Amino acid sequence: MNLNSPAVSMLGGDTPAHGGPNSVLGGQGPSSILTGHGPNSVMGPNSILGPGSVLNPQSIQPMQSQQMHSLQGSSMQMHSHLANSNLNLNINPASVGPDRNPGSVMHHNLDINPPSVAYQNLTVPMTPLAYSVYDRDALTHQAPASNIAATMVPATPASQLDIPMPALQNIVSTVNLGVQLDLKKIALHARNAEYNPKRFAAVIMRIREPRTTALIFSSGKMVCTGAKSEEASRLAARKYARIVQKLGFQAKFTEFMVQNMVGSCDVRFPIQLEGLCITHSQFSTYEPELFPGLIYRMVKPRVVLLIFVSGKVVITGAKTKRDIDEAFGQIYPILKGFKK
Amino acid sequence: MSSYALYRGTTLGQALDKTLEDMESEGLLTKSLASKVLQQFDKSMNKQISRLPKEKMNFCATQLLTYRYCDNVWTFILNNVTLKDPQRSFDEPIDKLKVVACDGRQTSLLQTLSAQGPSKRVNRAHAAAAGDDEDDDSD
Repeated sequence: MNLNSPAVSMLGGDTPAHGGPNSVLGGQGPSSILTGHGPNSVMGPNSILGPGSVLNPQSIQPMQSQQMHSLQGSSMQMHSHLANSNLNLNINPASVGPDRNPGSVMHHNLDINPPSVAYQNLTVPMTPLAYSVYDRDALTHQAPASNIAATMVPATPASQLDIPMPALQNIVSTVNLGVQLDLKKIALHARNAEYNPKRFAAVIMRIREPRTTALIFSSGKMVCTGAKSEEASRLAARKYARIVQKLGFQAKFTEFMVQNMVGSCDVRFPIQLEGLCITHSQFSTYEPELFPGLIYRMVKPRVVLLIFVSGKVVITGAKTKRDIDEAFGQIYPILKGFKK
Repeated sequence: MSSYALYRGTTLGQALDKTLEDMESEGLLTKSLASKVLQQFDKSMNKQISRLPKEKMNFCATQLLTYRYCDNVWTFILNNVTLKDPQRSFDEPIDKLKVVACDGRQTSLLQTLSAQGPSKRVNRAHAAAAGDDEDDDSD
């Protein structure tokens, strides 16, 4: 089927919408998006397929020869099975919502702004615009035309789209030394130890590496705080157990468990906390007179987020790093929706 | 009523202790009497130090090596300490300094310090070079 006939022209012709100066899909006009000459074109210097683009032309595979017969100017001859395909070019960045799957361009929306893709959909393979070269001689004589390919290219990773990741700030863990302890003996013989039984019924001990603080109770239970990773917390707890062992107690290292993890992140844009509180009233508490941050109690994963107007986010109450990442993955698109 | 015994580690306290030991060995003094003398020394030292002029000595340390707090007594071991005193000059920094700081308002000292009133019950610090009183901590 020839799509270039004047009567049923879809991608070619001389009408203003097809080949004129304001052409959307062809020609060499200033508003042309699918040729290499318009300033706003897909292949142009400011485009998504340009030299500094997200979709690098070298990384995009050429289409199979069966998908296209010939390439002549701004007209295209396609297989009959592609003629009925629903082509919807959407320049609106909000076109790919948090619950939409950006699938094949031939059947779904084409988003010209890749960073607008929602956080949780970044792992879904996307079909970007493919740039293929079939007839080198034809391309030397005339303007290069863009093709919309059905080949699957993996989505741009999250790191390239500059989505921040939460960093661990504190880990609270507990361990059972399995022996009754004489706290006064520990306080008198161990270094960097405090013991004031009138104020608090535990020895407060610190070590420099990993930089942590431990609360040692007479029951043999110990709380280790201040570590920046789960492994550092475990290592610190082992070091405290070793110190207690050296003081003459038959201390064991049992029941080590991470009780709480605190992570923080900066989304790097200001947030409308009032709007967020109203929309997510079921999960949110915002009392600016009492505390400047919005307290967001997420159900799954069961964590608490402190969201500040500056864009800083604190995630607490997690048992694993995965919970923190998952919680931030869920809150990030919501925060984007309430960007000031 | 007992007082802080930390001043027994000073040069004066050590000299008294050695003298009492010698007198004990020569049979000039009983053990209980020697003990009473040392207790009186503790009382007198605490009393006199609380009456001394409150001149401040400044010190600056590169590193706090260790600290301890037990029985209302803070113990600090400092590295590379520079002392500044209006009365006397310290030319070079001290490699290691042990500071023992006690609470002057402790109940066991109220009787001893009652003559001075509450305003005089100030914190007192005893500083000794590490050579005099080495830390015996195990890590």
